[in-house]
Amino acid sequence: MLSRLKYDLTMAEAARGPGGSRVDLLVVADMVQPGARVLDVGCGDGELLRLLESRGVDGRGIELSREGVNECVAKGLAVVQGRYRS
Amino acid sequence: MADISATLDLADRAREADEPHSPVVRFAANKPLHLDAGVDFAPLQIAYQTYGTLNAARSNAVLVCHALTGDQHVVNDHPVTGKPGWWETMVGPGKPIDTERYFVICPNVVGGCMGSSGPASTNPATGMPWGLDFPVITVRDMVRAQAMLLDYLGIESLFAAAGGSMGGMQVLQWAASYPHRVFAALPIAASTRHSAQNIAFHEVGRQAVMADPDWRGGRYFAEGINPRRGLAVARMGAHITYLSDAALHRKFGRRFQNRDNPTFSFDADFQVESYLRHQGITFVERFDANSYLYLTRAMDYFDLAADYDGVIAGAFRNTPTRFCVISFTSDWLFPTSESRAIVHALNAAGARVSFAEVTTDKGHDAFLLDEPELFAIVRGFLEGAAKARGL
Repeated sequence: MLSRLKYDLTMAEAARGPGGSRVDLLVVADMVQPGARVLDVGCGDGELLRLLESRGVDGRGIELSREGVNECVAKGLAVVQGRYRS
Repeated sequence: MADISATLDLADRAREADEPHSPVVRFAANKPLHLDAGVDFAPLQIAYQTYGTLNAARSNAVLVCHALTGDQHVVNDHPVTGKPGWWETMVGPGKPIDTERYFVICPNVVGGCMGSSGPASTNPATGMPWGLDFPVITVRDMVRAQAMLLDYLGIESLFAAAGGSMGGMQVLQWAASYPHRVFAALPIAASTRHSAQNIAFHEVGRQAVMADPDWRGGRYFAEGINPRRGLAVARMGAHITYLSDAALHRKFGRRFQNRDNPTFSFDADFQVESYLRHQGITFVERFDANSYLYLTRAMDYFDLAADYDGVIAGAFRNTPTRFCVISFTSDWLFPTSESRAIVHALNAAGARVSFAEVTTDKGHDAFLLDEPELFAIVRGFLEGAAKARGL
């Protein structure tokens, strides 16, 4: 089951779904219930968080790169610059 | 000649303290401001500016909190200096704090000198300026007075509170004191407490003011004089802390001012000296020396955690407010570590918080300057919050 998921994720990495979202992120988002609270560690430019928020998930993010964080905050996402430890 | 001009701006400023070029609310004597010092201050006067239009639901108000030497004139020309407003880069039609969408309110802080009650205001009991008889005020007192203004304006809940430096302290105090009245909070280049180093810098400034023989124990108004030199020196010292070594080098380096060689005197040989002197001279035209003492004191006393057993998170427990904390890489007065402490506390309190550090060499003052990254973050944060608020 897990290896199958990993395979799907790998194959889907660069692919885009009907809504324009990365297919791998859609797969992840499908695993999260609306209303859940999610911390995305290493959230990059916030694409997954944005997808989750559009589905009613309370998403937060941590991102190391300053560019990524600033992009996320500019998208209205709750993202903090730093490492998981910090 | 110098004495005449000093008297003139003194009279102008005294007028501005009581009868400002701004709308004013004068609270009745039976509506005092309860001060942390244990004093009920009355009659309280608040001067403020507004920009944009309050919507029918009264849900689009943004409170802009000004910094130590700022005032309520955010995006209009200053009535004393004629210079443009201090946050025209951030606030206005189409700007990140968009006055076409939001109703922006900026009150002059209590203790200030531009029309809200302060040491330059007239004490009705004596008919003279309060001077040092004005009670010592705190950031929490400023915020309490602002809440009274919002009550007067019929605004139950702010869409956002935003401000840098001392303005950021007020924003944090707002979120702590009135969590249900602030939907979104934007403390920029701020901290939850004034550091020992910052208190030390302020003390140098206050001592410069008080060492000026023209200060006269704070009663200079009564004697028609102005402690210009002391206040100018205070401003020069403080101004250095608002910049950075890199920015000073970029702007001035070791370049001479209108000369090719040192004069072997104590003239302002260097551009940086000339610049600082100019900063000092222009500041005393528009600012009251006693106000400077009171407001620096208020910042020194600020320690949000002290009210919650030393735990900052206690100030934000179960807060419904969403936060966006912003710092600047070259700000050594309110360094990023201070903002991170705010973010840690907010995370511990379960708050919805964003944090970004803007890369710039312009130091603490960067929050007032043209910083596209800052604008993008503020715009995005407010847009996200507006969507959540249904604006």
